Amino acid sequence: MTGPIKGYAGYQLRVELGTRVSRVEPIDAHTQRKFLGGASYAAKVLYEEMPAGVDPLGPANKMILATGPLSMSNIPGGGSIMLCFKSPLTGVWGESRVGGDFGPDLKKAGFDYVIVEGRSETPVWMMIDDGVVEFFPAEHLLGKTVAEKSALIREQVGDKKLSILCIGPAGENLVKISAVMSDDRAAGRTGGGAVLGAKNLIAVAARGKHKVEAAEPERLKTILRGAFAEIKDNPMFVGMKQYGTIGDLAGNDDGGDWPSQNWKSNSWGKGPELFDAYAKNNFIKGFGCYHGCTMACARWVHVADGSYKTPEHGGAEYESISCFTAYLLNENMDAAVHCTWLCNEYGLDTISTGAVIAFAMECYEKGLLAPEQLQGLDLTWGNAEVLPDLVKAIALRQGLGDILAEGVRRAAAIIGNGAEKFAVHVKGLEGPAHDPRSGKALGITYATANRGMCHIQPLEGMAWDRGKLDWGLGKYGVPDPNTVERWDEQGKGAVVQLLQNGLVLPDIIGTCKFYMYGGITIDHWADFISALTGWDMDGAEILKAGERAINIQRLFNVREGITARDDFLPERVLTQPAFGKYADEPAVVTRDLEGMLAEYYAARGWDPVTGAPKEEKLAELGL
Amino acid sequence: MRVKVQAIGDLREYFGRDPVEVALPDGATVRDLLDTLDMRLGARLPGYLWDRETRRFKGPVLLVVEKKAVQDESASLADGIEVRIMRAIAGG
Repeated sequence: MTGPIKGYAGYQLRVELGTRVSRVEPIDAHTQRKFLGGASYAAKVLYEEMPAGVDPLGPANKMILATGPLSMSNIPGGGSIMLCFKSPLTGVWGESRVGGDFGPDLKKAGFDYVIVEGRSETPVWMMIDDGVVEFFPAEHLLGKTVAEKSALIREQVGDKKLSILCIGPAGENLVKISAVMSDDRAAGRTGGGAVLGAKNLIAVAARGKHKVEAAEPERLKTILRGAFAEIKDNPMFVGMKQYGTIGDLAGNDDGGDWPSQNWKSNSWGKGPELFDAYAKNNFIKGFGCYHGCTMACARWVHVADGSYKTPEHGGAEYESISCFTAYLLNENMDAAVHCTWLCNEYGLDTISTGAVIAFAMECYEKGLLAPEQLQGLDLTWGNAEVLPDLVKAIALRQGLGDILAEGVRRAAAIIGNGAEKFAVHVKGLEGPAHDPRSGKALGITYATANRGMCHIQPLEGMAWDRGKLDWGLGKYGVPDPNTVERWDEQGKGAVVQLLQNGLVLPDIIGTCKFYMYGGITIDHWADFISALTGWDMDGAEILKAGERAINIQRLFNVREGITARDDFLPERVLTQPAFGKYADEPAVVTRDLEGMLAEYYAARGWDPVTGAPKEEKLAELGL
Repeated sequence: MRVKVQAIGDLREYFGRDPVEVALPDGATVRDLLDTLDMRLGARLPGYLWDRETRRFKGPVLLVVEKKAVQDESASLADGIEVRIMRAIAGG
């Protein structure tokens, strides 16, 4: 017996909830070097172990908690874990990342991965304590908020610092836009909360004293020291530390990257005053979401008094706030901060929740909602007063909230009368707060991302096109973004596939993507992994692993019925902005999505009709 | 002495597409450069980007020399260098 592979905890935990039987399974070096971890290894497991057509809310769906080799607090961005499953919202590949300490603490508990199978007859929570698994009744946790649940579990165990993943009432109620929370951090997208809720698994906690052994500990220390010193003065690192993600607000509004009024426009003009209000009234301080983070882009905020009084909490991220301001034409920043906090406490994805409310407001504007659906709600654009009640109604599936809890695609089908024309989603996932009318690369990423209309899985295209970042990928063939016009279309399909291969890496090696913005490159990642595992990897090899991850997730989707026809952009996003700075600027509208996608498929080695990876591509990737 | 000021990305809409050459006294500091930028461009920069009172960038826009953010206004500038003006956040 040679012991666990270096650089990993070395084991995965497989739990069958119906029987409460858990198995510890060793992981092997060959497979880990090929897939690395996170959303890549989880895709391999789900593809191989789960047949097509499984009910996402049935016992046959699996929830995989997946760290990567770098999910450790001493690594830049290492406070990270991926949750992977078949999505109840989209019916295809579902994944969501969450920061905080749970990822590193799961490794300390002795596991790189947890594969959750089956369904418990009664509500339970699961403790993974230094390699030992124990289940506890969770009836008393039902209906409680995330903070209440977490406090009760910590009190029960007598450990104030225990790392916990838990669902809120939304997950319990199988809301398809529900999140899995780690305190104030969210694995928000694609409905993981409902997957756990359907399994009757209310929370998972992890702790332990296991230490991951590095192959070359001294080398690792040296290169980590060098990397931290190198990024300290990087402008993106400095910017994220000083302003957090919400610092984007005014600039994105001005740059046409701020979807407004359910995507009727890509700018609103209210960004500067909203940011000023937030800075004056809501912001308290920045902090790191996990122990060891030096970037500290998370924001500690509150609403001191008034009708939206909200306790101090971590939140008010760019996406969340944008979806509760510009999406809704809501000018009340206090209301936005309050509602995003409510989403966290009730366990809702802030992006999808803001998006379904924007959709509902447009239905109201067009007279598509029946009085019995509205039950007196005034959904006039910008009406902040209605928002807190509507957020709770979605989480609790009450009244109109029960329809909106299904996400915009299903809600549009229920409401009918042409509502699907302004239900903004791709593959069933609601769009986030970045607009392809700010730069065309983002449109390709929205159309092709495996989890649907996502700004960060795997690539924020606008950060290359408009933000002019190349994340150190220039040497791997990515053109200098400073030589590219953001509204040009030619050539972007090929660039996007290269960028996606690189930007998916944090989700498979177990780190925070923002450190890649702050100056950590794939060459750094390759060095860290090499020193940890002893594998002597280079940037090209891990870039290939990124490509493999995207392809195996795509295989999962193709098996579920996805074809090239599902790689589209919603009509609203392909339309001239109705108001704002770019209303008279025709260049912002995508002219030839088909052409960009044709380039993309050719570069990917995917069939342009079926959308499936071709045999030769699969052979090249060893899939 | 002279420094080149180059805006990155859509900030060129306000600072110009091509680099602007700025003449400064020998030994000039970052503060001197900001004052000069205010005199030349301050009136046409949008309020969210530039604070005319403090003559500083407002929000996450930074001056960058050799890929490093320059935050110390008393830092001296060298003749012939390129100072980039860039958004310090590009995602969220």
